[in-house]
Amino acid sequence: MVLNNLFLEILLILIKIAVVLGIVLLHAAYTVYVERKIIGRMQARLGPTEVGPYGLLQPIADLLKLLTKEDIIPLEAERLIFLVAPLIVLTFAIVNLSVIPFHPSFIIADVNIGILLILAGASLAVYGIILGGWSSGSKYSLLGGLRSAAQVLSYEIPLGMSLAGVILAAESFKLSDIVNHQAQSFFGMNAIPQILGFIVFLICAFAETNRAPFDLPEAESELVAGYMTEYSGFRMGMFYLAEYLSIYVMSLLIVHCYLGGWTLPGWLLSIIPPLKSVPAPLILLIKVYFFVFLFIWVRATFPRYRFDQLMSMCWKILIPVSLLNFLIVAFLKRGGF
Amino acid sequence: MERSLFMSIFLLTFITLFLLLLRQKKVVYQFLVYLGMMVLLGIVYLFLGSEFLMAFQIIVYAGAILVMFLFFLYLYPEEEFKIQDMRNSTLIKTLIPTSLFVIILILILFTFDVREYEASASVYSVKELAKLIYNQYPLAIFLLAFILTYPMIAIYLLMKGSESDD
Repeated sequence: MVLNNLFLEILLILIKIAVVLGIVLLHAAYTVYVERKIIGRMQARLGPTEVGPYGLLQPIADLLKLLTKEDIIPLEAERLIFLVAPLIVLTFAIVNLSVIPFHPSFIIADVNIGILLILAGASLAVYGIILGGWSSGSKYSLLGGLRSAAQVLSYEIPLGMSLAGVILAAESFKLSDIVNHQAQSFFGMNAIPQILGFIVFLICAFAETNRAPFDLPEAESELVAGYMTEYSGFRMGMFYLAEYLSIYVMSLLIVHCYLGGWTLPGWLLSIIPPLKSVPAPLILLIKVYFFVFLFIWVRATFPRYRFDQLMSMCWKILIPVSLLNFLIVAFLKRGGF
Repeated sequence: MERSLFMSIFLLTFITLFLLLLRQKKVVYQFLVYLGMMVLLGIVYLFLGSEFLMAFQIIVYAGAILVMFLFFLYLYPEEEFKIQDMRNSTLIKTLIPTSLFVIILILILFTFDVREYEASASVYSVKELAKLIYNQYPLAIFLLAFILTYPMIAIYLLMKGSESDD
């Protein structure tokens, strides 16, 4: 009987993992298509149109191309690390999905320290980038890896500090508790009372995912493709997949921590009562899609920062602002708000 | 019984990793083994029920401090890390923080009552953890803080030395 229950529990977890991975991987693949389409339109082009109707089969064609392409390992490369590095990045991007709730009753691992685990996963994923850059035996890759290390390390501080405000407000590290706390609060979301933290987190999310305008580790005009320069075939695909998965992880984290997750604010529901009938997963999905669109929009709009600008913005602006946000939250909490 | 079995497995893995670390010829591989040890330490914390400590072990040590180590490893040629001729005075200086650490460890081991550790509230709450650290182990914390300043002084001296060489 006990064994049966254990077996069922494991089976349930495996099904959950399969569902989450299936949905998110499909999303990641089609985000590439959507990104190319949106950026194409913003630059007065059409984007992919050739493969399938409206170019809809383009991601599948890209996937086939990446899988069948020759996997080249440079002579100068440190073979073992070169092969393992993309796996490290991809593994930690996927692991982060395990502690994110998609519905009040749908989460793979409902752990007490969900937010901290995501931060830990993000901080370990950077090893894949640094090691990949170093092991390639190319100066462009090495510089890309070093830039990435400096960038991710620096931006983790304001990211963590802005999250500290959210944790303090909800008095919990669990993402589901944070969502529930926002649903019961006056504003219905943390983004209004913690506007500073929200802005800091949003900027840091772009930097943590190495996306434009913070894509210095893979700045093509300076470093070819940065840490990915020597990679080809499906290993390069793994880096790309990890990047798009990270966009989803960060978007989900923003939605859960600042926009009330799958809930809508009470004041909005009193203004538009039909919104009460919208299912929770759909609310979550729309919010996440908005942030994914924002990632693409920013890439098409903003020019890349210089490295010194990137660093000074983090240390001179974002860290003090995130500390100020934390102080404001502490005072609000003390005042009983 | 189960707990001691798992702890023995962890200990054996630690020793194996330590030996593996000594056998590696390249600094980067040594670093990777060390990183593995840091992550394993986090897993031990998790096994002991301290999720919070595990998260901080990985975020702070494995995720931040060791990334900086790696950063500097890449900036220097590997030959510079090889110990060429260690003088006696250098050896003594190196032994000071190590021996201090061993003394603290022995102090804690002799004064620590295992039954007190059952207060598991301390591993989830920062407040409880801080109370425990500052009330029960103030001497240990003070000495560890002193040891942590040691590398900073060493870096300062190294920098000063390289400036005078120039």
